[in-house]
Amino acid sequence: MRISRSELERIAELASLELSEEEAERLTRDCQAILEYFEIVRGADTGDAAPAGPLEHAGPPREDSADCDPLRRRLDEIAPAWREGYFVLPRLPAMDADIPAESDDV
Amino acid sequence: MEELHERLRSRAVRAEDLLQATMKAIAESDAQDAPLNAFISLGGEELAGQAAALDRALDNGDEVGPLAGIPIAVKDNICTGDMPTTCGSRILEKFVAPYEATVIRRLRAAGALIVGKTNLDEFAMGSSTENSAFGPTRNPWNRERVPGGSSGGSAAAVAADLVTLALGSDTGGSVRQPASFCGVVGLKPTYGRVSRYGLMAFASSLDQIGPLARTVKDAASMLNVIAGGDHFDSTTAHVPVPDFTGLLEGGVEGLVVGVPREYFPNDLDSGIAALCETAVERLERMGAEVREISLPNTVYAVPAYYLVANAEASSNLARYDGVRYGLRAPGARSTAAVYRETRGMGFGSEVKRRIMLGTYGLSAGYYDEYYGCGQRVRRMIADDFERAFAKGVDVVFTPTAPTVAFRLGERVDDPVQMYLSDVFTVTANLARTPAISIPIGRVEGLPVGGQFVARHFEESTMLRAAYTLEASMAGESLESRA
Repeated sequence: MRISRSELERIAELASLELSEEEAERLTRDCQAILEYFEIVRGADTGDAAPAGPLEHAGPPREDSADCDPLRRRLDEIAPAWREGYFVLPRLPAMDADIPAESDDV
Repeated sequence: MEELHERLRSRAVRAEDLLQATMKAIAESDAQDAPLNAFISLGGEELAGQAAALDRALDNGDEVGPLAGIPIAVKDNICTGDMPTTCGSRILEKFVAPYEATVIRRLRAAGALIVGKTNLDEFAMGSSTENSAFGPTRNPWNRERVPGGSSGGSAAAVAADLVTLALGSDTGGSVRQPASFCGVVGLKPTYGRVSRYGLMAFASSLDQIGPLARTVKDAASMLNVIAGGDHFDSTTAHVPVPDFTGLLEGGVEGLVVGVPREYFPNDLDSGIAALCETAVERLERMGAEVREISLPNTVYAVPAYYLVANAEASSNLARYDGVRYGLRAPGARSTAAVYRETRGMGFGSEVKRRIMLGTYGLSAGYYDEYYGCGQRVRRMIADDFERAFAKGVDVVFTPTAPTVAFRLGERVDDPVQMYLSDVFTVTANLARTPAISIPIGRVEGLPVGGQFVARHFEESTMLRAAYTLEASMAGESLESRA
């Protein structure tokens, strides 16, 4: 299995990772070496082994009731922006074409 | 710890004084040419208030918890509510969780003082604590060496006597391998024994929080406090939690100890092999029945582990996108660019490497070949242990790591060599069994750990074996280096 530079760029896009030229070069090399090492496991005779499954010890579902974690800090204390009981999110350019892309206005 | 707890109760020592001494020792450990750098952040006024309240309670003769006044360090991927939780990453540099992990709530209810957050490989991805955005932690035994990882800050803090106990997280050996490198005890409980609520997820089917301590008894005391079902984590087991400290005595008479030949390859460091042999002989002399066993799928453990762990990591870390949790790339011109650029500038190189490999393994056309294959091999590795236990083996004994602590920088450019540091520890995570590393001696002046593995939820048997072996060495290898 070989991983090409274009394959690496496709994976970076899927993973939402911006890579510098130098990083892309190094990652192509590293990923290639690691994937070659992983070949050992693909040689395993897994026969009819089932994939590791869910846990046998999982407890019964709890009652369907609101049971919130009592927070140590109020949300308005930690929110970068908070208005009328809600978080105020950064305005993303793609969400509003009328707002200049540089704006961090909320 | 027992002695310290008694001195606090008898008022020979005050919690406030102990806290001040702890903070001073931490500052001194960093005020050197080669700083230890075990901590990323320290507690502030709230912590001082907790110590003062404990002193008032103790002065009044009030009932206090089993860890009252004991200084405890916490790996910086566990939310404490009062200090930042950075995961050793720039992307979370200023993130303060509004809530505390279940383990933290239980420790505080037991009177523990959480003095600070310890350094780690970014998002717990690494075996040397060199992958932290806040600089490497050094090994207290030799500051040119790594402390292991990823819970290197916690292990170094205990080994340097800065704190009595610490919490780490263990996804592939991240409690046990640094415990081995730093000469302390490191315990990974059975998957489901301890709640993961409030632990930043790396690989959810493998992650488990565990104690680091100077003695087996201290680790058992901490496990007593943190273990048990939690309805905030549906993967915890609602099974009885025994008093682990009460079950330490009893020796190893009649205990069947399995020694798997795959963990003693020809190229294993001869000093480590000899120390393991001595440990096994001690167990045998004390009445244990030693059997050579085979765990034949061990050869596939490291690649299977990384196939599973990287896939889960790539999914878990998708949440760090620049919209939540702090860091956001300035000036990005589209929503996708905000995600991409924030992650590009916020994650370090090892995290990017694992996200890339995990995404690759989960992508169309490769899922079954990589992730599916990893999960099937995982089952085979778990079955190896099941077969050994079904044939009467009570505990398995192995070296914890194939080498002693290596030099800083020695493996940073060779990821495969770094991954092989975990060769003896990843199997317990894949099989979800409990495991513990205890110091069994030194090679060239550096600590060596021996590992016990037991059946699911049989921590008490494993702790008894470890405690008995530790006692037989009369503390000779538990000496610390500040």
